[in-house]
Amino acid sequence: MPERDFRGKTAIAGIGYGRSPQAPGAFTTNSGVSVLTLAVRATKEACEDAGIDPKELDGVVSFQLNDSVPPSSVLTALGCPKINYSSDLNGGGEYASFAIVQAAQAVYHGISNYCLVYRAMNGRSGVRMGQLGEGTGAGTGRVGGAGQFTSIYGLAGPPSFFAFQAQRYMALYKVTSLDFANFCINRRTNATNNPRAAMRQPLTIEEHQSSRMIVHPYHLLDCCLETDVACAMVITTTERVRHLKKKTVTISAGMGASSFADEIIDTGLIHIGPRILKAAGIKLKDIDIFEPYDNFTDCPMRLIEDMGWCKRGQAKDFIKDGRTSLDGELPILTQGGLTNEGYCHGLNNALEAVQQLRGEAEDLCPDWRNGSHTYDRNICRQVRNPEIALHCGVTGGSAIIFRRE
Amino acid sequence: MPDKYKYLLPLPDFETKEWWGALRWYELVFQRCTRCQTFRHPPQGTCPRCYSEDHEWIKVSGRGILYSYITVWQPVLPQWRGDVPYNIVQVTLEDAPNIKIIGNVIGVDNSRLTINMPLVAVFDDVTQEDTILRWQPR
Ligand SMILES: [Zn+2]
Repeated sequence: MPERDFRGKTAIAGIGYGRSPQAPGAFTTNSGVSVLTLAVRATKEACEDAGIDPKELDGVVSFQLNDSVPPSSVLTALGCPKINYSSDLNGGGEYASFAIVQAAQAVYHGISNYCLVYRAMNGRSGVRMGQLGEGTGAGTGRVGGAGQFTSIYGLAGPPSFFAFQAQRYMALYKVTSLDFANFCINRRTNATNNPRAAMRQPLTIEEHQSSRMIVHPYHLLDCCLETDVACAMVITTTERVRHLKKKTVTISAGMGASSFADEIIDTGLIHIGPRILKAAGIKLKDIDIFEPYDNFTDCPMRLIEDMGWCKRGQAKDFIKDGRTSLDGELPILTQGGLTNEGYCHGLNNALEAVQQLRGEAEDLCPDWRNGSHTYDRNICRQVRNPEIALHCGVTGGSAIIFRRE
Repeated sequence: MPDKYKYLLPLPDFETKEWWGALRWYELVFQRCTRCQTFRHPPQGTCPRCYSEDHEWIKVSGRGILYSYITVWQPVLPQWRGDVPYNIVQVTLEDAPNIKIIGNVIGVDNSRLTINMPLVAVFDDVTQEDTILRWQPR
């Protein structure tokens, strides 16, 4: 069976963020450099992390919404002599897991030896995802395509598209904005010790409730950030990673990359969840940490439910009593997620999963780089010895399971 | 009828012009596959169920049910900035329950919108050439 054969054959050689002395935490609102420069910085850091020369890269996968650079240009900028695999995925958060899966497939099939995965964007100072719509009628005042049925009612921007799902979810399952606040507080708590995170102050229910309304039912603090950032990952064979610098985190299984549900509350994990567990050869209870795509508060809540940790509408109770905290039975969004760390279209949540599995969560512990953690929750956000992590793209469109050897 | 309509207008295309044309006559129509009777919207060339291209335009009653709704406070599109908060809804059709259509509800306070609220189509002549579909409570 091919899925079983793929299991564990590829691994993460290195991860990197597009940092600079001006942006040590990688996420900013105004990078002051081109998207290509951000992508190259992240790639260099990932190769440094792996202990390989960037010129060893011979494959590349990225995803974008006309807001980035052609993938091969990153390898060209680094003087890589040969490109054996190049994939430019046209799309957004649905590819957050799948871009990694595709790179792993290229490596698994022997097409690429070291395949780069990256997402780079000046998402705040350049092309803003929050402005995305089906058409603006520029010049003519008329919109065609899908926009002739949406934009004409003033519908544009991700908060408005997702708020339909949230509203129906809340109404049918008696989920309230206070439940959203609880989820946001838990997630923010994990961000407080994340030096990369843009939002690190502890959050209160009152702050959540009094943050301005963007699109009802979403308050500002229900919405993910818009940031300038790049994230990169280098994939190669597990065999090679065993001889590189870092602990070996393998790819157990991955699939996607989009979904369509008749019921708008339903996510792709209803379909992907059972399949990916089978492909990875694990049970749900084996997953130690969950890094879902958290563009808006209800989305990760529904992903928890659709993966099977609890029933539809029960995530509001599941997340209580510290169950999803760093010391709970299922730590979720261990770095604060897209809402607090920043927005690299979901790829940053995957890098976080790798850091956690290596025991190298970037926090305030003095020696985190060497995997030495205090577990003092005033400074430490490393989960205790996690082995398996699940990461997924927007509304469960794609998913991937990482496993530390 | 306002002299100058300040919002965005539709740009009908080959597959949607009949849908928009019907609205001019205050008729709400949907494409229905003549082979398997499945409704589809927005209009498209092929039936997603049986792949046939054969279809007819079926006039429906205009009775709908509110499937979900939002209220926009911070619009992306500049034309709506003076109108906040405004509602946008998804409606399912009594005569074609698999269809969800985007619109807005007029004649009701936003705070009174609820899921499963019964609605009826209204036809709004916003310019000399354009009729837009809206909804009101029934
Ligand atoms: Zn048909």
